[in-house]
Parts: sequence; structure tokens; C-alpha cells
Amino acid sequence: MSRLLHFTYDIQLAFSAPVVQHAFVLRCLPPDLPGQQILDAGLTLDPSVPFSIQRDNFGNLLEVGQLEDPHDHFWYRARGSVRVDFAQRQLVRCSPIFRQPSFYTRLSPELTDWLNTLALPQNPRDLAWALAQAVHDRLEYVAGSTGVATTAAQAFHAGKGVCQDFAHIYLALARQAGLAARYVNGLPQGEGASHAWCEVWLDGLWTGIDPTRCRWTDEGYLRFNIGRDFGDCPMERGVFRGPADQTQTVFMRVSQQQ
Amino acid sequence: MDDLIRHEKQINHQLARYGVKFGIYKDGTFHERLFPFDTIPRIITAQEWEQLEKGLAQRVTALNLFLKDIYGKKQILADGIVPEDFVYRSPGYLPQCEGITPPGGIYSHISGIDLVKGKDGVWYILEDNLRIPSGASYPLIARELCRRCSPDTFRHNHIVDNRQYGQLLRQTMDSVSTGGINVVFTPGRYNAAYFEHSYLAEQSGAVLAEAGDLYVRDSVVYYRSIHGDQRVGALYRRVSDEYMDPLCFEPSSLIGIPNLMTAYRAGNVAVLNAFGNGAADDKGIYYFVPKMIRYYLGEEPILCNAPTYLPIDETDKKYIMDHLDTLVVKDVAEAGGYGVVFGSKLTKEKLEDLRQTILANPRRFIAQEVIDFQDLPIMDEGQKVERKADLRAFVLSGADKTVVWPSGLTRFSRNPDSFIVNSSQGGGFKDTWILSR
Amino acid sequence: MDTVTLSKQSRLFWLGRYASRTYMTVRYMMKQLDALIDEKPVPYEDFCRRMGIPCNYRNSEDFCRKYLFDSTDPSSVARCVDAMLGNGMTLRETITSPTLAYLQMAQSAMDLAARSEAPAVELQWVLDDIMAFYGSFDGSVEVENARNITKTGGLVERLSLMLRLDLQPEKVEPELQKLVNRLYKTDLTPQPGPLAVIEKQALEDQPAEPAALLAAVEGLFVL
Repeated sequence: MSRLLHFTYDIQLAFSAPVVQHAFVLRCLPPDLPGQQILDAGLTLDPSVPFSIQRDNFGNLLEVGQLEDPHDHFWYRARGSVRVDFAQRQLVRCSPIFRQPSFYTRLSPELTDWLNTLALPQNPRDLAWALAQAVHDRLEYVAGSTGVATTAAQAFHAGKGVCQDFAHIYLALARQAGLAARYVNGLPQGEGASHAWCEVWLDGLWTGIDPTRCRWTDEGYLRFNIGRDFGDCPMERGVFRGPADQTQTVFMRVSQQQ
Repeated sequence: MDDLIRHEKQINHQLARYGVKFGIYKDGTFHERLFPFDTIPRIITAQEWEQLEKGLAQRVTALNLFLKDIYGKKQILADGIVPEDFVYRSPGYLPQCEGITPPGGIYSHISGIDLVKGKDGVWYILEDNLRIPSGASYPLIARELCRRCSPDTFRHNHIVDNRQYGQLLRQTMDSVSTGGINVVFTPGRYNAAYFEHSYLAEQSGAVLAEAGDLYVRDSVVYYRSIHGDQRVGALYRRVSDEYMDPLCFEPSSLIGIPNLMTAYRAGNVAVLNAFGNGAADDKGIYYFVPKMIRYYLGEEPILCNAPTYLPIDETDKKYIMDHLDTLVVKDVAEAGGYGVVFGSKLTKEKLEDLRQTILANPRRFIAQEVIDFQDLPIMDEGQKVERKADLRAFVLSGADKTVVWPSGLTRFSRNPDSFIVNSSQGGGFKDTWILSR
Repeated sequence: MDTVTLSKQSRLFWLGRYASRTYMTVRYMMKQLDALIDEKPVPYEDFCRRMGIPCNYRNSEDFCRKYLFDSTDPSSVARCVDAMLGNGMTLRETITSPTLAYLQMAQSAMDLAARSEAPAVELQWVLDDIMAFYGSFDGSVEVENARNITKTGGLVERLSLMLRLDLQPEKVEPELQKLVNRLYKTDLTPQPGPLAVIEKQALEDQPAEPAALLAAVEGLFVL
């Protein structure tokens, strides 16, 4: 059954001192895709500056702009309504790059050794599922235990992480096991922070799997960006001038309209 | 030529006067050194050059088609000519460039192709440099100064003039420009090749800029000028891919231009050379260049690679295992790998270690025959001695044509036993004469 | 093409200042080297105080050597020459290679002077090279604004040194007038306070205290 989802995604950046020449790239609007129809979507910025929208090579939407004048905060708020309908998904070809290791998903001997100890099924769908279970069981979810720069190998060594790390470790293993797999970020139905999960290419369909929650994704998962790993599609990136520390507050909500 | 040797002192004085230097970092501090110049030129006959010119243009044309293909339709991968993972595992491959066709369809505008001449008289390609090959400025200014010091030499020999490099560079930039000024983008005064950056800017009539002089607004690159900002049409950048845009590549880069990639993606600026060219010039891809030439151009390669073997190929693997003690083995993995190892210089145990490492990681290595270079004479404290030397040829590809610069950078090693001709290792350079008849 | 960025403005200005400082301090030091021949004391402590630099010199001899040639001494003439050349190098495509070569030659002459038994001979070459630089600069820099920025920098430095070292006091006023005329041919933005002090003296003949005038000259531009 398709779902009509309404989302809001609020990010507040606060700077300890005013900054200038702040260039930003946001990826905080979901793209229109077969199976994910955007009914309406918008982004408001504060301070209000014009931005342009581009599509990157993965098909993600980029909101690009620059704040020249001094400012001590940057708030952006995305909202919209989306119809998610798995029946509308289409068979696609898989780019070979999703079969290769990338920066965050490079294997370590430790990861390889562990993968070799797993008794894994042959069938790709069963394999994809078995890996999700293995990662979920092996790793402890500890908020704040890793950072944006943590790689799969580092998080695996530590034995804990957040959704981004679960996804990276899953991708590293899945690709090594012969699957084509990619990183996804977006908003699942509910409230809180943004989320990261994976997609595996099965029978010509990119099929969502969430190793953090150990489940296949459903129509409650709103997809914002895809990439080989986090590095390809961060939801926010910026550079500015000024000796300031930055703090970030994120809040999102995705609710289903009946 | 003896006249040139006689004028060695004047020529070196002139080079010092023009500050022909390169920078090196030693013990953490920056030093500039004069780039030692040897007056005895490398001479390439007209007949020899005709072959080299054709072969180099052919090679670079194929490499440009290869880059266009791997970031576009990927036909050569689908047809199994080049294995996928050689491309996608290459550290120089940038997925951010997928689907972007640069202005004019050219990726490698300025290519530096390194060659050596074997004792058998055959020229071998050693390496393709398609990212930011440096060195053209040195022979360019050296020729000017040699002519000044020894006019007779140039009156009596039929040497093709090489001093149009600045114009060639300008034409190349103009041919792909999206409208606006031409800029040479340098990491700054303390870069090893700063002399070259500033000299090429002057010679090509471009503006020299650093981070902070350029910015992006509405997907267009501008040069900050006091009287209104000027749009940039072509950006000849001398900064590596990863530092060019902190919002797309290395986030900590302070020498880049934020959001340059959005301007590039929108087709609003030509970047010379294009981003992501590293996927076509690494040691693993080198093996496939002759195959690319056949595949894209339907021609036989005019210039040959040094004979190269891939351990992933069964026949090659057997050959490597049987001849490991005479081959040179190169690690194609990223930095921090094995580097370059000459089998002949290893002890029995080390050789065995290498053998096992190759068998365990066949994809990581290539093996090549060691080429017996033809040495060139240099003057060493008044004595003529023979030293190893290579040649970097410069090929300029614009939207409309590909031109091989009738000159090149001949580097030699100071150390009689060394194969390394790198300038930071104390090597020097020579003028390279192409004879017109 | 009038392409002067803010960073280029600053380099042009400082190129002028460093070239002028090199020229004036080399001339000053040639006089001191001459005084050494007759074993006359060099007033180096007073010099350092006036220049506002640390006085780490043992005696007249030591001062003449180190202040001229010691590249580890940030106040030295050698460092000033390096800074002059460094600014020139970043402006190659504006000032052209032939002009830049004179700065390179000045630095080479400094190196020779440092190793010479009679350094005044090579120091004279430094002065020659800087004069040649000025000539070449005038002839090859097409953008008038760029030329005037460097000249403004040169005048600021010259005035600063004249006031500090009490050189040719009768020439201060004409130099101030030159500065005022020159700076209006540039797009530099002078600081209003210091500008008022300078204009009063240059145009209205209301002399300021030397210390206040020096502060005004030094504070005229923030670059």
C-alpha cells in the first residue's frame, strides 16, 4: 500500500561568533523518483539568501548558496509531502561503482577475517538479510560514540557506532560478498534525527535494508540521497571564515496522512 | 654546441637573473633552489620527431576518449577491454565527475608524457601525466636565454623554435573557455613550481590567482577585482583535485574555491585539466593504453609502452614468476604501498617475499622489463660524462586540435648510478632541440 | 585589463614600501660602512630606537654586518630584500618577467655583498638594480592604478623613514604633497583620521608634531 508522508526537517546551526563568506551545499530535499513522488517540497533559509538547485551525479538534489555578510546562525527548514509507492518502482541497471570499496567502506583485515567466519547463504536476497543480522548483532548502537569521519574499519574495531557506521560496515561486507550496495540517507517515519541505511541491488531493484534496525525498509522510509558512502552525499556541508565554533541542532518529523 | 658549453657561465647567470627556481621543503622549511641547467641539448632529428609527434598525439587522443568514456557511457568497460575495478578502485577516479562532460569534451588539456630512449634506439613511454604535469616553463625560458648567450649556435643549427608555448596554452584555454577571463590558479608562493605558475600566467596572458581571489556565485566563477568582478571562463589550475573545492572534496582544504564544482557541473567554467583524470594515468591503467588506442581509434599504437605484465593474467603471471629477478615491480595501490622495486636488487629472501606478496595480491602489482636507457652527455665540473635522462613531452589538447609542443623537458640525474631524474633529488634539466630538417 | 584584486592591491603597495625601504636603508648603511673606516662610532642604539626594532647588536661592526646581511634577523635589510622579491614574484604577470629580474638581481647583489670584503661595491649594485626596477616598472606596468599603488607605497615608506631618522626634514613637506597627489590616482582607501593630519600639513601648512605625523603616515592605509 502506498503512503502519503508529510515531512519537516529543521537544522539550526549556531556560531559562537559571527562568520562571513559562508558557502554551503545542502542535500536536504528528497528527489522525485519512481516510487517516490514529490507532491510539494520547499526549503526556507534564515538568514534568507537565494540558493540554486542542482542535481549531482547520483541524482541527489543540491541546494547551493553563499552568505557573504556576518551572521551568527544559519537555520534551514525543509518541508513537503511525498507519496511513497513501492509498486511504482522500476527495474534499473546498476552502476559498477557500487560494487567497489570506497573511502569509508574500505575493508580492514579484521573485517575480512570476521566476514570469513560467517556462514552465509548463496542466494543474494538471503545473503543481504544474513549480513544485516550479523552486523546488527555484532555492533552496539551507542549515540555519540563515533564521528562523521569514522570509517567502517574504525567503527568495527570499536564494536559500536551510530546508523552511519552500521551502514558503512554493512556496505563494506556486502560488496566484498559480491553484492552491489549503496548508502542512503533520509528520514524514516517518526521523529528525531535523520537516518542512514543501505540499498542492495536485487533482481534489478534497489532494495532498502536498514542494518541499524535490522529490517527491510518499507514505504515509511523517505529517501533523500544516495552515494557510495557518507562522503558522497552529506546532507549539509559548509565552509566559512571566522574564528567560531559551530553547534548543530536537528529535528525531523515524518508523519503519515490517512 | 661547443659554443654553448663555452657560454655555460653566462647561461647560468641569466637563469639566476630570471629566478629559474623550484622550491623544496627540507626539515620543514621552504627553500628555493636554482634548477641546474646543462648546456648540452638533447637533439631529436626531424624524422624521429615526426614519429614521436604522431605517436604522442595519438596516445593523448585515446586517453581523452577513455576519460570521456569512463565518466560517460563506459563502453570500453562493457566491452571488457579494461576491467572495471582497474578504473573504479583507482584513487584518481572521482565519482563526483560521473556524467559531466567538460567544455569542449576535453579532459586532459595539458598532458605530460614521460618517455625514455632505449639503447636499441626505440622510444618507450614510461608514464602518462594527465593531472597537473609541470615543467614546460623551464625549457621555455632556457631556450630564450641560450639564444641570447650563443646566437651562433642557433644561427647554424636548424632548430624548431619552441617559444610559442604561452600562445599554445592561451589557444588551448580560449578553445574551451565558457566566456570570461583566463586564470592560472596557484596554491601560492611557497609551492615548488611557483616560478612556473607565474611564468606561464605571464606568457599566456592569463591572470594569476590564489584562493580568495576567486569565488563562486550562482554557479559562476568570478575573479574579485576592485572594479567589479570578472567572470572566469577557463581555469588552468595547478592545485590537485582533492583541494579544489572544500564542499565537494577534501573539506579541510584552505586553498580551494568553495562550490567550484557547482560551476563546473553546470558547464559554466572550463577547468584545465578536468577533475578525475587520475583514473587514466595510474600505473595499472598504463598497461591498457595500447589497447585503448586500438579500441577507440582503430589504429596500431605508434609508440610503445615498456613491456608490462599483469599478474592477474595467467600467461603474464607465469612470465613474472620466471623472470622476477630481472623485472621491475610497481605497486599500483595508493600511496604507502610497496613503491617501485627492482628484482635484480633484492636478496633471495626478499625476492621470495615479493613473489608471495604478488601471488597473494595479484591486482595490486604490475611488472615491467627494465629498459636500458640511452645515456646523455652532461658537463660535470668541466668533464663530459654520461647520465640517465628522460623526456617529458607536452601535448596540448583544445576543443579543436591536439598539438605536441616541439620541445620538452629533458631531465637527467646527477648521480651516475641513479635512475631517478626527479628535480627534487638534485637532478637537472637540458634544452630539447627538435631539428627542422 | 584592469584586474587588481584586494590581495594584489596589498602586494603592490608593499612592493613599493619594501623597494623604497631597501633603497633608503642600503644608502644609509653605505654611509655607516664609510664611517667604520675611520673607526667612528655608528649610532646604532639610537637607530634601533627610532626604527622601533630590537637592538641585539654588540657593537658598530656587529650592527653593520647583521643589520645588513643577517637573514635570521627579521629587521635586517636582507629580509627586506627577500620581502621585496617575494611580493614581486607574486606579481609577475602584472610587472612582467624583465622587471622582476631586477629584483632578483638586487637579491643576488645582496648575497654577493654579504660575502664581500668591500660590500659597498655590491651594495651600489643593489641601488642600481632598484633604480632599474623603477624604470622597468614604469615602462611595463600598463594598469595605471597598479603603478600608482606601488608608488604610493614607496612614498609612504620614504616619509616614514625620513621622519623616523630625521633625514632631510626640509623635504618632508614636498614629499607629503606628492603622497597626497598620488594616492588620489589610486583606488586605495585612506583612513580618514591620518589623512586629515597629512592634508593639513601638506595643503594648509599646519605642521603636526613629528610623532603624530609619523603615526599618520604609518596609519594611512590598512593593507
